[in-house]
Amino acid sequence: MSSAASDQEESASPVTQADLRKPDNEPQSANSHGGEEGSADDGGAAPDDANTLTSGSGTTSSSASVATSGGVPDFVKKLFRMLEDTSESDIVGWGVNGDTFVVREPNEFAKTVLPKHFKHNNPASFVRQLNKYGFHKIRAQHEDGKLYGDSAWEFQHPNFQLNKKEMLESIRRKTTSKGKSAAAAAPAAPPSVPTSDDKLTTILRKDTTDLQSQVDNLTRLQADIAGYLEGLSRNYRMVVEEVLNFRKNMAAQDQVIRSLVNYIAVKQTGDGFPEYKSISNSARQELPSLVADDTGQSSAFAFAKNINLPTSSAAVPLSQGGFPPGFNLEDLGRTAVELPKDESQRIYSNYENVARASVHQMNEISRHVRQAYSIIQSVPSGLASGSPSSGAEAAAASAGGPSTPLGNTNSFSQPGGMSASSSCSPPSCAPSQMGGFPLGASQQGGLTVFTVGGFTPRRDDVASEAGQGRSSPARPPNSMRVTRATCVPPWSVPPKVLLVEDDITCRKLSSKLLQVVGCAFDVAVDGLDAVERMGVGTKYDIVLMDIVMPNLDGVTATNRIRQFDQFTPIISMTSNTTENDCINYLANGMNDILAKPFNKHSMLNMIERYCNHLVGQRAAALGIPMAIASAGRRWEGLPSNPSGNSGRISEIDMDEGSPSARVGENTSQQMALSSSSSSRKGKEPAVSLPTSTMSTSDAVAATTALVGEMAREGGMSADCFSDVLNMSLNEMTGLGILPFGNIVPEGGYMSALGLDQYDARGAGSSSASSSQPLQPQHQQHQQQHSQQQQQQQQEQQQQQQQQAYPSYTSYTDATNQQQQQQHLYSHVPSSSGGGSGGGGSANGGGGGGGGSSLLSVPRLRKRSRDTEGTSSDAPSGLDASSSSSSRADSAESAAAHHLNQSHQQHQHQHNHHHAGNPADAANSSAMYISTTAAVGSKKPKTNHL
Amino acid sequence: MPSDEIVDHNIFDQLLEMDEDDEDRGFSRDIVTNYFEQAETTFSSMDASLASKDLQALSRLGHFLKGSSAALGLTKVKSSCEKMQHYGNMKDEHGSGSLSEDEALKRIATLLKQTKTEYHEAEKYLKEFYGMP
Repeated sequence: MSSAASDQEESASPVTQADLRKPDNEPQSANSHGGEEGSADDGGAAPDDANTLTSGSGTTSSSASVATSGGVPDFVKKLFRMLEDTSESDIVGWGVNGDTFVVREPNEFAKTVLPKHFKHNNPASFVRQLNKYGFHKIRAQHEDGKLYGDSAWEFQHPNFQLNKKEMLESIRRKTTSKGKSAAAAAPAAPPSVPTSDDKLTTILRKDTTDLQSQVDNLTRLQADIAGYLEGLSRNYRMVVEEVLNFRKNMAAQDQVIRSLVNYIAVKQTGDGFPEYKSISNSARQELPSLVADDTGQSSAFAFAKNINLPTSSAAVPLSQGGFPPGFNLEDLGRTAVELPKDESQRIYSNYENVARASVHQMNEISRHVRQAYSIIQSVPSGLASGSPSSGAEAAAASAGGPSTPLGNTNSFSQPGGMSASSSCSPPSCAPSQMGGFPLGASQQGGLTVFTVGGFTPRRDDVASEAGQGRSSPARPPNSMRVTRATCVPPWSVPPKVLLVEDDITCRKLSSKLLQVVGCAFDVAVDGLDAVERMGVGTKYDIVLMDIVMPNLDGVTATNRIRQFDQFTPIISMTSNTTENDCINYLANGMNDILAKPFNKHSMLNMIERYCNHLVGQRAAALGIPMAIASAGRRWEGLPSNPSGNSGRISEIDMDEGSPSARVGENTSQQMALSSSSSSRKGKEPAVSLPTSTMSTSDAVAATTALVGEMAREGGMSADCFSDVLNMSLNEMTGLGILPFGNIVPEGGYMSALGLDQYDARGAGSSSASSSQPLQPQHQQHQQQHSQQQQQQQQEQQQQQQQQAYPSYTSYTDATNQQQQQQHLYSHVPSSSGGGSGGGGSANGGGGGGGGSSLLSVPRLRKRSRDTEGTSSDAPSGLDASSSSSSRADSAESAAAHHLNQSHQQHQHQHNHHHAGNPADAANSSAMYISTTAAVGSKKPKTNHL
Repeated sequence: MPSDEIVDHNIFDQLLEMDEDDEDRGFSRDIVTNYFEQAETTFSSMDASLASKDLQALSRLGHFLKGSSAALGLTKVKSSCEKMQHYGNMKDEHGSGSLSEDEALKRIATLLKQTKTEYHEAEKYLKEFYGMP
């Protein structure tokens, strides 16, 4: 309060005034000391009526407000007017000197004068008002006794004088305690101090206080920033640490995979085909619709015919080189009996442990990254751009070492590719084991790893019991099938869902479903609860609302919620879906209807529809253009297409995704073919698809590639891959471990290839942007170039071999693969930067590439070469299996046809490139990519669209 | 999908999937156990409501049990519950037309018996499946 106090000191007889009124027009307060001496209690005879008091103070406040506006307070005006009125001068009037006024007859005054002028008759209130305005009662100090009579009151105010109406303006109502304290401070300064000094002091004091508070603020701010920075660096350290750990785990995992591969290779050379027993077993189990013995025999037989390819390709070159086509027929008969179960189990569990560890690791990483990210998000500066990429890198895991600069997306061009390609083991690894791929679903953008469970072999009883509706048909107890109820949710930021459901069963189920699809959710048990939760300001991305509920039904609840929240999507979950019901729901503000009973698929679809922005966040977080991200997601719908093509499952609702349906479709007719064809053809989608995921999101590059590889081993079909890659959700369970996978139907295959396009595109952009800063480009290119030549030679060699011995194709494939692996590994330790990784990629089918996206390119090429082998070899496979399924045959031949075509295209372009730009150092890698891209882009256009 | 199955495996298998690798099928077992309790309670409530001729309560209870039965894929129980829901609203089994109160009660009495039978059938099946006592 800056206004100076109008200060007044009162002593016994002389009245000292010190008017410190400031020259400015600020409202002033009239303070008085000793004002309390003026005793209001003298008129104690009058009743202290609360009501009158209130009315009195009401008047006061109104007069005070008048006062601030510059006029004379009402009370003072009235008082003055009252004294001017001489008709009551015997009761009240001016004092003898004109500087006081006297109430001569207080009783009369209260009875007649007060009501007339002040609308009340309470003298105590009047006195109180007087005190408030700084009037003082003067004690009878006259020596001659009472001047005005015994009971008279004499009041005095320095500015309240007879005929001096203009002075009234300076009579102000006393302020409250604040004013009092200011007034108390004032006497401390000697009265002689000039007004200007006082003013200066006030200003100075004020300034000091301001400065002090500013300093305080700054200090606090700085402390905050320091804490924040500390948190950031802590997070950074943790991320680096996690990356290191993860890398270690990946290495271990890789080790296990290799030992598994070796084991199988050795087993195959030694014992034959250990895994086929279990496969044929599971095939039999999973064919509830077929007559049991028939199935067993026919599928086994089919295996025998087709088995040579996968096995020989898996085998170490030494001993398996020249299998005659008929070999496996007898061989299977023999080996089908022996079961090296325990050994494989051991490896499997070993593998699983490592994998679990790495999944855990991923979880940790993602947790930290998310923490860090959430912090960073609040900083609008350049920091923000760093975080997603560092997150991505964390996921790429093996790519980053401590030396890796976090936040540099280009740094993927490092030994990183290793983890992906290292899992590139021969395709015929026992699917039932390999299928137990342990990685949980990893969410792409946010790097959240949703692992809803581990992966242990699932007993078949359930599936078959479920499928047949009664208990166990005869089957080997040991055989296993692995299911995964885990899916890869499409969003980076888990949607926050409010689940409103009163029925415990539905609630549990829905909760589980939400958990599986990777949503964060709260549960409300009825409409009231829901409204409450929405009301307290929790922000949900979507509300799933049951309709029929106790307390408050879903429709009413929605209605209420809509009164304060118009935007949150509210989905009715109901089994009452008649037209009228639906209209009612929508009319009450619900956005959509999720019919009960729903499943994972329909629920996820619904949530995706309304939480699409969260999917977008993933792409944005990773700095990927939306076009690409969404293009990647376009395949989501695909799974049903290929299945439609296959003709077998068209009548089965894929959405239901029941394992038995899947298996039935899978095994019934195509089993025969798939053993050979899927192991070859399965490669293409398998290899191209995971890499395409990388381009969509580098985040889980290593992991996803691993998924792809693993699945390839498992012979998963292309449509399965579309699922996996697009992170669409789908029923991983159903795809789980199909021993031999679907034959890759044309559509599926092509859709898989279609993804190459995006892959290549991503690769192109990333190579363009990164350009391997750590190694001179020309050097890299030379390396690449020579490797291309080498590759061509290999191709030629391969072709020759194919012509001579069709079955050799896969053998050379395997050799190539192994070479590539070796190549890769030799590169891993030596490559300190992106450059050598990129160099390796040129040769290496899995060479680590220029980062995760570049990685895909050479591998694509490699696959194309494989394709060549496959396509030329396909007819023999067809011959062998044509008796089994003509339908599958046609699918395969069509696929083979495409393979041929695509290969020719590719080869043509490749040759052209090679001849045309042999010395074009700078552009080579880009060209390389673009040719691949061209090939990739042709395929989906011609076939899918 | 055949509706005369005790359990619709398209639905029930989805539930089983949620068990993931759990050998004990903890999740679905829990759900099913829960359902049993819920159904028993609901049936006794239905009996009581039938005795007190509270059609509205019967409709509500029918709806209630319908939801969880549907979630488990217990098709028969579900459709019976649906009928009860309609009868409770004094409509015919397809939810149209109108019934007199007596007629509705009469039908519900029959239907309730049938529903219980269907439920016990399903219960037996599920208990066998889970190896429950």
